[in-house]
Amino acid sequence: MRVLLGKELLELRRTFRVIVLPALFVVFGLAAPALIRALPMIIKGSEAQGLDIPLPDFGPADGIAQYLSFARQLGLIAVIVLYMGIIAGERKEGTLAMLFVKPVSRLSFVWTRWVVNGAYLGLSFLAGCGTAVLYTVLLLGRPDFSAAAAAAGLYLAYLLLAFSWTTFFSALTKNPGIAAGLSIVPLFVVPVLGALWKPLGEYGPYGAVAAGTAAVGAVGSPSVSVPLSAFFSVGLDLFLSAALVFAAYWALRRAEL
Amino acid sequence: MNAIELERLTRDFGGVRAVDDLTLSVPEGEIYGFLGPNGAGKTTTLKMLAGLISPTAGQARVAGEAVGPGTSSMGVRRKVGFLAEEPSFYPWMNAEESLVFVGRLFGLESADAKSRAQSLLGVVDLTDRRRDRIRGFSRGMRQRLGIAQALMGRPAVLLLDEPASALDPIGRKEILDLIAGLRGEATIIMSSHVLDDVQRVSTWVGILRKGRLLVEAPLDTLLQSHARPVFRAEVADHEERTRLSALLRQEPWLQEVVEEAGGLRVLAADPLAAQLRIPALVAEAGAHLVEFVTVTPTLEDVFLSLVHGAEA
Repeated sequence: MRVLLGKELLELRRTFRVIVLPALFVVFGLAAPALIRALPMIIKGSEAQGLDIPLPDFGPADGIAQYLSFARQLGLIAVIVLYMGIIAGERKEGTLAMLFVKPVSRLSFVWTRWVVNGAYLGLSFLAGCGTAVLYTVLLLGRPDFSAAAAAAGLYLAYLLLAFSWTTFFSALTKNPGIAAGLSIVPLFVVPVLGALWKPLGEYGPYGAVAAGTAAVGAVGSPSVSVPLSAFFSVGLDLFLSAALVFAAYWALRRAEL
Repeated sequence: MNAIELERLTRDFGGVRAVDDLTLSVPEGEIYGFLGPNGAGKTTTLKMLAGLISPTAGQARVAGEAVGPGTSSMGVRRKVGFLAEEPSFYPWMNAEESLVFVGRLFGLESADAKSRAQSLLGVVDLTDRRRDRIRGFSRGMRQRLGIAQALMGRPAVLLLDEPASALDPIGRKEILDLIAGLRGEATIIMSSHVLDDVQRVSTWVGILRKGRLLVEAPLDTLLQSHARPVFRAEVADHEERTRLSALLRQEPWLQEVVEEAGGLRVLAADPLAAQLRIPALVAEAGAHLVEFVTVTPTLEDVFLSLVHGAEA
């Protein structure tokens, strides 16, 4: 396990992923408050063309909410694109065959890959959160730090779940493109199901995201405290993540290479 | 005692039978040359032995234990070294890191793994490139590195799929000498298209065709018992060789005629008829006979004879 952990860390350092992921979330963290700050000026410019769009007064919460919006849309798609080959890529390249004729357990392989990359994804997301908070303070004023921290924690659980299902689909096939295609499906289906059936929306996997968004608040929707259902949702996300890691191992256990 | 045993091993891919009811055994410490034309099932067999794919029927045992995806025990994998036909590595690692990584997977301490890696890099002539990323390696360099990684765990059983196919003549000789030097230390199965390579290092030979084992025997026994006399007819020039070759191909007793430097190598189903007819055919072709001799059959002759015999 220690040897595989070392290999994962070396791979992070040696491949573009080490830059792309944190850079992406940091850019989101910079862009979100800047966009909110610039929006009135952009809208004002459009008034010269005869458009009259009424604007609310944006506050610090909007900067954080915008970052979270970037994270759950572009961020999740980026996670799928970056990790679609987390196992399928190794299978396609033949390195998995090289590895599995050696005394390496397939569970250790999946587990270490998930732990290192999941932790790295989480840290990248949190780096983006930190950037968004700092830039919000500079451009929009002081946000509610505890609400931002709670939202970050709630989003993190869902982000981990999305990463886990990408890992699972990547173990099912040796084609990273197919893994990405399969991983996109829950990205849309999970929020839609949550919207269609309220209990699922609150207690289901997407409940954490909805509660995080509500906790930060924004123009037109004041900040609300984190409900108990959100903790259940976080627990469910973590449980499903662990289950998906084992499912990935199960898929890989008898895979022919 | 046999280090490797295959019992009625069969593997289908869709409707195609790649390996068909294959039973063979490799005695401990021997170098087993696994021969066969393209598509004979050599790679599929080696992959089944390495536990990378499952048999459709039958079973394979290495060092007394069953192998297959999810069934190979750690104990077996500690004893096996595998070289794929096109070995894969993490391209972002350098050669030394890659070997140290493999050594660590086999439970070696860092210092021991590094020392063994350096020693094997010397053996496969990659010491100068040890710090270079594998992404920039040629196929021949990857193959040499592949052999080094297969040896990292000091395996009792080595499975080598075309180990010298991408190497230049010097590299080929070095690797074959290395493999020959492992005789007695490890049991080796080596598949190859290059019959000369197999003849040079193998002690046992198995010839596979369309997934079935045509013959399996110690090399010497095979050469003695299966090879018919081979004739070598040397004529004056290339044009004469071409004319003679065309006439030979019309003879009913001909099994194979191979052009080689200065002459033709003739394998005949009926050696007596060949001995009588070849000089007459030389005259018919208007060729000048420089030399006509019976030569010692090689593994290639046995291989061609058996494969053509099976086809007939």
